[in-house]
Amino acid sequence: MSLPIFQLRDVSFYYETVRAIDGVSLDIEAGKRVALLGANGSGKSTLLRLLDGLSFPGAGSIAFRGQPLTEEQFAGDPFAFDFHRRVGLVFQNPDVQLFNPTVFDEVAFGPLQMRWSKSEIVSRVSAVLDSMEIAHLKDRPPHRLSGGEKKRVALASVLVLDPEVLLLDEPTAALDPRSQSQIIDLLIGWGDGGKTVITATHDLGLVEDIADHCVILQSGKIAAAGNPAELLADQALLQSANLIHAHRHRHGDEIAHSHPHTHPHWHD
Amino acid sequence: MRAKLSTVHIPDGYLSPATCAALYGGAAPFWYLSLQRMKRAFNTQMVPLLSVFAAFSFIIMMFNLPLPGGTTGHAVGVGIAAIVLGPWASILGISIALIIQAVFFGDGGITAIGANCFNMAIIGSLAAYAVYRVIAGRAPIASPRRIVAAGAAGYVAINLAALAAAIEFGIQPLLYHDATGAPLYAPYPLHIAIPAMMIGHLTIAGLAEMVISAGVVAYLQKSEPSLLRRTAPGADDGNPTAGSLRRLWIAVAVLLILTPLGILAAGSAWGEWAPEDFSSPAARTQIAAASGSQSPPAEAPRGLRALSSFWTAPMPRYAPPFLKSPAFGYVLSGMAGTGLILLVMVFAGFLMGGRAG
Amino acid sequence: MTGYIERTIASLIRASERAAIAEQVAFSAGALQRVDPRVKVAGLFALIVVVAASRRLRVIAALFVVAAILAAASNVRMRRLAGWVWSPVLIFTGAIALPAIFLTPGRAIGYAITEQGLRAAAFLIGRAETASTLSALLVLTTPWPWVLKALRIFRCPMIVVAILGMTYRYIFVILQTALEMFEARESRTVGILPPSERRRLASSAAGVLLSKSVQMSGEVHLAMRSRGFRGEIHLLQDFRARTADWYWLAGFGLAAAASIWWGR
Repeated sequence: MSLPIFQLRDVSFYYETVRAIDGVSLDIEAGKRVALLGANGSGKSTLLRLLDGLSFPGAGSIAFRGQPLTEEQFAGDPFAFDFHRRVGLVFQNPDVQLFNPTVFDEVAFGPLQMRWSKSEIVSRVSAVLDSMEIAHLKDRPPHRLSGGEKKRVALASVLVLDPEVLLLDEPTAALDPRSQSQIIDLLIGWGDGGKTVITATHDLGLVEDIADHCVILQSGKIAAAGNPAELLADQALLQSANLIHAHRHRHGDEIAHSHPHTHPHWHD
Repeated sequence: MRAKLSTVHIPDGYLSPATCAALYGGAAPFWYLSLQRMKRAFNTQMVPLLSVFAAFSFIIMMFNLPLPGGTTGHAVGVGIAAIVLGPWASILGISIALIIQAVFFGDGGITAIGANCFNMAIIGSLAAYAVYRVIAGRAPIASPRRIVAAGAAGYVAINLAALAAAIEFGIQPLLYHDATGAPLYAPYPLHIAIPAMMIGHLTIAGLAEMVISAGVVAYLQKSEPSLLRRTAPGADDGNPTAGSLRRLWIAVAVLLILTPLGILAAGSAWGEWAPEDFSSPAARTQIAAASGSQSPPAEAPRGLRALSSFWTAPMPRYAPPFLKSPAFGYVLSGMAGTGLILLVMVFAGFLMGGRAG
Repeated sequence: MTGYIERTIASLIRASERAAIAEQVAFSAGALQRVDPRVKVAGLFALIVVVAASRRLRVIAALFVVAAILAAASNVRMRRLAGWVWSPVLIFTGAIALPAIFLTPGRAIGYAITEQGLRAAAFLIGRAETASTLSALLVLTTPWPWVLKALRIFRCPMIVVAILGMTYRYIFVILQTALEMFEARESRTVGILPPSERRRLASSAAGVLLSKSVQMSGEVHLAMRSRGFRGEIHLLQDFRARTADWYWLAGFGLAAAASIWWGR
């Protein structure tokens, strides 16, 4: 059995006095698609940042392909460049990720920082823009893009580096249905590519399509981990993790009652 | 392009190319120094922090602020910048905002970028920081004293910036004429330029800066005090004392506002007589009137005659020689004097290592 | 009374619209739009300096005409220039120049107006109008990111170019946040507020914006590091000067030289 691509041992992380991540131990196999489920505040985003080497644990250890992720390791350029090329993070808020004046500059940012040659950058960026169908936007400034377009640019800016690992923070949040479905198609498509994809989301409807493995986070701890189908069937678990809710509603003309449910999207 | 004169972004054509070049030259070392200091203090955070903060400053400059007295005005935000980020980041952040305003939005001239940055970003930031540090001292972060300090910092900063601009304008007609004697650039000499600029800033623009600086610090004290820590090293974190607040307000207000009102005092100040005054009949009448109707001696006292040649003040009679009107020379001196006093206070404060309360 | 909120909203919207229009014109077909940004930055800046330095009114007037012709050839309508540049400058600088007509010492020509006063006012207004027209031309015919990259010809440090670009980008993000905040306040404010309350509202709006801005800059920092940013800025600049650009450069140079010579 090959080495897990990420190994977390007893990881804790503190914001001031709050424990955002509390004693998390986790192995993530290479090439797997993992869904990190949890309500807002459960620690999903923090965990993704720890995995991306942007923050470092206050206690415990994280290893990527056997190499520990520590501040000292990242002090050196070669390791940092190599790691950030191999692991890409798409932030939840695209305005945070699109900080360059034009779409082309944005997608070119990563390769530029890693000192690729100019011709290589230009050809790679054009290829990625074409594949994401946003080539016509290349000279646009980010504030002239729709929500869906911004998300695609954000994805492109990470994919241009051809990473092995994709970390996605709420990829479908605040998107209109059509853009959502485009993103989901992409996520499904990566299933055969050998990429490891870790998606943090609270949208249960996504999970079965995009994940082989599921981890539920609650208050910074792992509440459960396993097969998506099994976990999603466990209503009590989902409710205690604040992933579904129970409030009164009607089915047709029946009297108002209440049972746990989510608000799904429709499949025709 | 703003039609209001609230914060003067000098357009092209008001200052000669030589003046503009000199001010670019004056600004450059500060820009360079600020870049170095910021890189050391903020490291990789410098680029995103400066960019977002400059964008914030840009937006603040568009706020129409309600002021005491019912008017509204615009602020530059230099007080906030200096207090939250420190003087170096403020110099750069405000400069960046000014450059974008000038080039992209046409608010302020291209050749005047050096001048505008020198006045508002550089003089403004340094003055705001100095005044804030001196008045705030080691007061706790949540102390009302810091609100007063912030208000004063904003007010002084903008007025010093305006004074600098006024002097830059005022010397243009002195130096640059065409063949017929017509001024080539800003056409008003110092004795018109200074009061014209200062009136609007001592009242509206200064108040706008004071309101926003004090207001934002008050807001941050309650909601995000960590943002005030950078410029409050050694702040006592005991209980804030409200006692000295009013006295401090009064002292600062007196210092700043009454200075120009000294013009109202007719004649010369008591005791500040030159030896010649004793021979001039008009002056003798004034001295008598101010001394409870006692006649002054027929001749200047021996000691006064002996010592008066010993020291000639840099600005005799409180007016630089090239100013035509003594009254406005007085104002100029008052502002400069205030600035100098504050600078001395800063140094004294640093030398003594600061004292609590 | 929410007059100040309305005026703030109006300023914010005006800025946003101005940027949108500039982008639109910059990407349309026109003479200057096709020119290499570096040539435009250098050439228009040179002309602005000449306008600032000239001692002859006729040179300034001639350069104004040149600017107007370039604008017409570059899909910039005169009405747009009049609204953006010519009227505001006339109002602002005109008001400042007006007293000079009476106050400047010199040869009187009736009604306390002096010849020198008229000339001084003409210089001030003429310079301000011409220089503003030239700089508006730059911004209306060149997308902002290219203007910035072209600044490198003045040896502007790369980090400054990067910061200018990012600032421009985030102006729109913060503008949007500010607009939403003020629109919400306007709809909630009923009746007349006491002045101290109005001031407090304005300051807290600024404070909220500041907090959000600082927080956002932290996130942006993470996003930059996540893609390999280590502190050094690298820019991709793909400007290639074609033959036509060299002609334009020569044209700008000739105009500047002619103006200096004529104005001797």
